Amino acid sequence: MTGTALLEVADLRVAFPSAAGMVEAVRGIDLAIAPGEAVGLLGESGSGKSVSSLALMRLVAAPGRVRASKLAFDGHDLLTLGDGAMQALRGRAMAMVFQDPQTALNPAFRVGSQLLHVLRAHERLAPAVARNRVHEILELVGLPDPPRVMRAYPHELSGGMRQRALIGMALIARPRLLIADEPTTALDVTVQAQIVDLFRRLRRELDLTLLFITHNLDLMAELCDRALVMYAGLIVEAGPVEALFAAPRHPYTRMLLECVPRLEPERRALTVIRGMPPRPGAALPGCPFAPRCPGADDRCRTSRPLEQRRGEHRVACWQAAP
Amino acid sequence: MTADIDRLAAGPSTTRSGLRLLLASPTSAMGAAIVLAVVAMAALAPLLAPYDPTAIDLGRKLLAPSAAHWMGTDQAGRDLLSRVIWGARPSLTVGVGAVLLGMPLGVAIGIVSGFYRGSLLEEALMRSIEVLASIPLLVWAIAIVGVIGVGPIRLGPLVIVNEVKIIVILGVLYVPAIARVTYAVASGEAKADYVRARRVQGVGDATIMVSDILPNCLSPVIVQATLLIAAGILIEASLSFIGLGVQPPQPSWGGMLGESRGFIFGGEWWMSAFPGAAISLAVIGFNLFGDGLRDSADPRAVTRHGPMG
Amino acid sequence: MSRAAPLMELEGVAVDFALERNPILRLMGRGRTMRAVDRVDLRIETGAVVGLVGESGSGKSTTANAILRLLRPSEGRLRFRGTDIAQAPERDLVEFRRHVQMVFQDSHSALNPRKTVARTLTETLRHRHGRLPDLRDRAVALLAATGLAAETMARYPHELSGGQRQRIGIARALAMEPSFIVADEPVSSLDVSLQAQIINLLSGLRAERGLTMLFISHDLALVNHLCDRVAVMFAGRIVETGTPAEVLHGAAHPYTRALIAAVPRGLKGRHRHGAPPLPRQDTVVGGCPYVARCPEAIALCRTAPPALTALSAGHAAACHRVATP
Repeated sequence: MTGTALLEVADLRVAFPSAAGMVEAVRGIDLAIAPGEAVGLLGESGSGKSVSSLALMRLVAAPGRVRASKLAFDGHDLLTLGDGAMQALRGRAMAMVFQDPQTALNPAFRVGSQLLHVLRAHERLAPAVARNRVHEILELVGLPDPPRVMRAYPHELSGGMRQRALIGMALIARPRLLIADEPTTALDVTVQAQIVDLFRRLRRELDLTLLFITHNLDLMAELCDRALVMYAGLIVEAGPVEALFAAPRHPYTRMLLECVPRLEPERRALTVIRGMPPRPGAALPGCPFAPRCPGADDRCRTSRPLEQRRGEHRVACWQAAP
Repeated sequence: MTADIDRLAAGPSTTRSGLRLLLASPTSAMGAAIVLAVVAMAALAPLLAPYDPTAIDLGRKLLAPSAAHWMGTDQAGRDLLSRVIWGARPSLTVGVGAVLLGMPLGVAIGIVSGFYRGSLLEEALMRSIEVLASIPLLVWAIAIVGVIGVGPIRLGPLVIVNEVKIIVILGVLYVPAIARVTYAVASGEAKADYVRARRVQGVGDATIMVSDILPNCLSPVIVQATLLIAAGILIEASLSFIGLGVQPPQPSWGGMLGESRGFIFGGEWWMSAFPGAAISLAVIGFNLFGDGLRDSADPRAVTRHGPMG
Repeated sequence: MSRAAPLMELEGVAVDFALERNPILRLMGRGRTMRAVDRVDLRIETGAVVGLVGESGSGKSTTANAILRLLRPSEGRLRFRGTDIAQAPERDLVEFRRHVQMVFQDSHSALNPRKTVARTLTETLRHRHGRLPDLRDRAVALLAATGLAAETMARYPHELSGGQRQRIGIARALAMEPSFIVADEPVSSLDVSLQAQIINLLSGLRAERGLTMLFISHDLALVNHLCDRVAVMFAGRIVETGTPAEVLHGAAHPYTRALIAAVPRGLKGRHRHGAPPLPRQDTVVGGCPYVARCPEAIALCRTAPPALTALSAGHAAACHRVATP
């Protein structure tokens, strides 16, 4: 990745208190996103992907603890920024769209008033001007008849429309970076395809930088330029999507690609990844994937793999070919 | 094929026992202690009370608290401490009795309404409950006792004293509160997949309601019951205060408070302070205990994760 | 094509839901209703795995509820081993209930949170077999068959992972020794790496025990992988049936084609374009329910509902354009 990064993260660690002391949900990840890029963060539940995104926005509340050797957005050092300044950045510079459109909108208020509320939090505008901005954004996200949508309560809209409204809410203050955490998981597949289309269009029209968090490899490959694969709080592989898909170097990535059924005429057996992901807080002396990896040896089990780079494609695995 | 699958172990149990949680918080521990004290006073009154609570000794009337009488004496020379200890009985009897009376019907109505939510049966039951709930407890209790009178009623061999009348009135009026709490849980659980699973197995509705829904309703009902006991103590005290509750010479906290009215300004503070404190502490204690129960009763509420799960 | 009677057959099954809040109108039978399942025909042969595919609001879950007689169909016949049980009273369904079981989507409500795994399994076994001395042993054997260790018996559902809970749900269904299992989105709520485990488990158990399965899912790729026959539902109707090869790789109905086009394709899908925003699925009066969205609609589509027309021996679609090309 060349040029100045919009978002730069080094050795991000997020820990939460538990009965057994502080437990790391994110164990040290590096991440950089260039302006205009679409980067995918791929992982299953417990991988730490959602927590990472919250940490980026400094939304991890005490007693949770965020540490990093570097956390910078557009030149601002997010680690030392005061709460007020961080608040100003959120929504204005970086915004987030969550998974469940049902619960992300307040059911007691009309959609229009919620959007206006967000807009007013960031910009002082005359009521008529603000209303127009909201109409614009609703059109931008593909909602027909913005006045009707503004008057509606969340439950009066379909899941797809709600998600579009949420994306609109995230974009209304014109952020440079949009973090989307599983934005299509709760939606029907036809609606999902439309939302993916919407993201593509928004990238083009707004020059939007996107961090797309998902567990769906095929979805991510359609939308993103680069991807990072997370497992048990660590990044096990990262690189351009073509490289990742065509020639995955980490066993987890490989097996993940093979365990998902595809819509092909030939039926092949599904690769089964035995066992379960480690519980948060489980001690991981070596590679986190070693217990489930068919090719793991003693070194894998006892020491954490060092990262190997082949150009843009990096992988943390003792067994990976250099 | 089965040899191909890993045996997945379940890991160690992470459910901590309810009792430890109950005592972990200082407020709920305090509540539990107070409840225990009140129960002990009521149960062991004959053993704990230093004097006969009804023994009149006009030579020792209106004595301030001293070594001989820790809470002083009242206008008839009766030891206040003994009367306070014995006074726990009607308070607890009414409080617990009313709840025990109202619970079966309240829980039954709540579960049936919740299970058949959307049906005409549910509408009928819940609307009737709402009518009953619109009646203010204390006003109604005063009205009924006022009409029936405070004297004991003889029904053949049965003698119904005033306390029992109050228990019955309150028990009936408690049904809506218990039914509502039960309904809230039952209507949610009735839609659950595990209920569907039982139906698919062919298990009858009645069995499902008792075996599957009822256990899930118990902890909110118990919490509600505890809070209703507190309310009952207060109502019994209020009724006795105005003379419509436990009749003299039986000691009751409310009654003692009522009798102390003439003596507040005379400087005999102990006559109102101690019964008043007893009522307040008992009510607070049961409330705190109820709150503590709420937190400790749910097997799921135990392991708490970080801010984002 | 087998001439034996199918294990389960739906003929013209319809399910209406009451929308009317006014109790008097409801009593009089004059309230508004919504038709969630609209005259569905479906054949499930013994030993087959049939996939029922649809999005939210398609009526697939209601169809499952009808098949399991968790509700009574408003119309139509529901034949199990030849006998119509659509309107049978509960007491006549005891045999049926023994043979037909369900595996639920693992929500947090698939298992009673207040019962241990042991209790959930033994009470099912007791219901099936009566009081036997070895109920616990049978329960442990069921757990083993689904890949769980015996120590799982003492656990509560909240102490277990989603994958483990799902296995217990399968064990519970097997405890009744059914011949037919309806699996309603059994892996949708699971992590990707665990889905394959559960799918393989279901496949294996089916082969071992000779089970017939109805597999309900929104995931076309999964249905492609697992099923012998596929039925696609839209707005309460079956719009296409056939083998996965016929339906998913030679789709005739416009909705099926739209569904297939919407499936993420990975790298190959980077330049694909989706259709513009679509109106919600509404129940349409008269005409084809898909007419509002269909790019190929003709005048007839607005006035006459299409019937399932056979395209070949096993492949049928409910579309006027297919019937009159």
